[in-house]
Amino acid sequence: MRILRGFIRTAFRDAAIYRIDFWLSLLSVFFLMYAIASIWAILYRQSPNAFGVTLRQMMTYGVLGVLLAPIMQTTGQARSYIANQVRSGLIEIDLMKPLDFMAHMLARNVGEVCVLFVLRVIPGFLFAVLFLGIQLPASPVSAAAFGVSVAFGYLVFFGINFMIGLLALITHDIRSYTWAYNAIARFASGELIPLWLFPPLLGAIVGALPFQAIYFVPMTIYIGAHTDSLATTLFTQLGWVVGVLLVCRLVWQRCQRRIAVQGG
Amino acid sequence: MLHHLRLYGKFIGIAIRARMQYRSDFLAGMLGVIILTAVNITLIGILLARFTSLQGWGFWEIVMLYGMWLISHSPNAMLFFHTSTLEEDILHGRLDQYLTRPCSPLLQFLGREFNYIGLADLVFGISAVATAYAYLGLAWTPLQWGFFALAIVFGAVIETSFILLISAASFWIGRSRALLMLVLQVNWMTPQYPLDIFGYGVRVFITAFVPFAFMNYYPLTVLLGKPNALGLSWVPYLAPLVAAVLTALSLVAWRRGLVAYTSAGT
Repeated sequence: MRILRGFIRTAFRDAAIYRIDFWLSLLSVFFLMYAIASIWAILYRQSPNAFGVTLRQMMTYGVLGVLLAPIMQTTGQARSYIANQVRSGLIEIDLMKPLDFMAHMLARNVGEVCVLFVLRVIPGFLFAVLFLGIQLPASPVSAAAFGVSVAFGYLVFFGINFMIGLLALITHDIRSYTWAYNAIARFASGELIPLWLFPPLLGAIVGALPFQAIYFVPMTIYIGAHTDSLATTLFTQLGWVVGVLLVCRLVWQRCQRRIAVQGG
Repeated sequence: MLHHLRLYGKFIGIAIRARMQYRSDFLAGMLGVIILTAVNITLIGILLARFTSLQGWGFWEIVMLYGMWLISHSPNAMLFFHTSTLEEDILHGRLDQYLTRPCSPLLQFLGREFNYIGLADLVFGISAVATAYAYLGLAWTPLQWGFFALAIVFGAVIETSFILLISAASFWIGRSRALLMLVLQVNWMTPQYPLDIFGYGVRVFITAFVPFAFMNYYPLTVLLGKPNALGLSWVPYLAPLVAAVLTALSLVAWRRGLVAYTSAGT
């Protein structure tokens, strides 16, 4: 717990050094939210019934995607960290640390997530509510469910990124693959466009992948557009969390043996 | 000037040879661009399959917008992709190396890297424009093709000099990443969305201060016979002026920046 507090304190201090950086990042979040909201409004004017939900719900969905992105993207650091350590040969040192490696990777970002939440998400959310007219959660229950679902989504994304990072042990350098991977993750997670707007076949494929548990599930819960009951939706998502993290653990154990055999 | 060009050619030659060492990297990079573009176009396709057009721009017109941006962006992607990372060079003190050599630091910085990925942008951009051209049933005159080609050249100069200008801000404020991200965010939207999606004030602001729309949107309004976002028919023809002003500004910013530069001391 004290380690966690340490991480958080350094992250806030880091952020305090670069103030212009803070304001400009905020501006960039505002701009992106505004752009996404305008696009949905224009499309809605053309055929109001094609969304399946109201314009307000749709705009809220799009804006939430922008707000959650900085937080969700911190999971990518586990990937780049592992890749860097492998490339520079320092991964053995991580194995020597008296910490569970996966837990260590997850905890590294706690500080940054807190900073982003306070400095980016909260002001962004206020801006969106005041100026873009996005809706608030329907009830305290759906607000709480949204929070839980975001946490689940974070864990799923963390797990996927962790595994992609471990790919570096096989291919030595994953930097050139990350572009394609990021594009697919953006597409299949429903960050930009909800899955129900996809053509049926594509929607079915994407629906069977773990990515949709990252953005699509929490954001549909927020706007109240989830098709199953709230409990079923959350439990299915939890199933993805457990599944992905379990696979991670297994893959990591195998990798660890591999590193040991090579004998650093 | 000629001397500088020859030197630059030599730098790039070295960068290409360095890159040749990593061939699988090249293939993966190509694949990355193809997947990235395919995903972006699919997203637009999904939207426009349901909604037919985005402020009067149909699917194939947006494919054209995308393709033209890719072509215009490819020189930047090939030769100047690293200009956006000046901040890191300054923070890690790598810039000091350039200062110790008897050659223009800007030239050394610009000639440092070569990226294959830009080739994929070029190939993909040309095929996107060709496909859209066929689907839209266009028949441009040689004059219109000339306009298209010139617009691409000016667009490339505008993009490169503008990013160079923004990254030069890190000479003074140390960290220009957020400013750059803001600018690049506009640049990421330019290929996929016509400027018309914004409110009038934002259109004016973006045209004046983040002029990436000159890479694809403004020339295409002329070529496709569309009203442009500002409703002023002469705006697309400002491209050469914008390119000249930005080039001059970025050169001045570099010169001043180097004078103001204090090493990070690492």
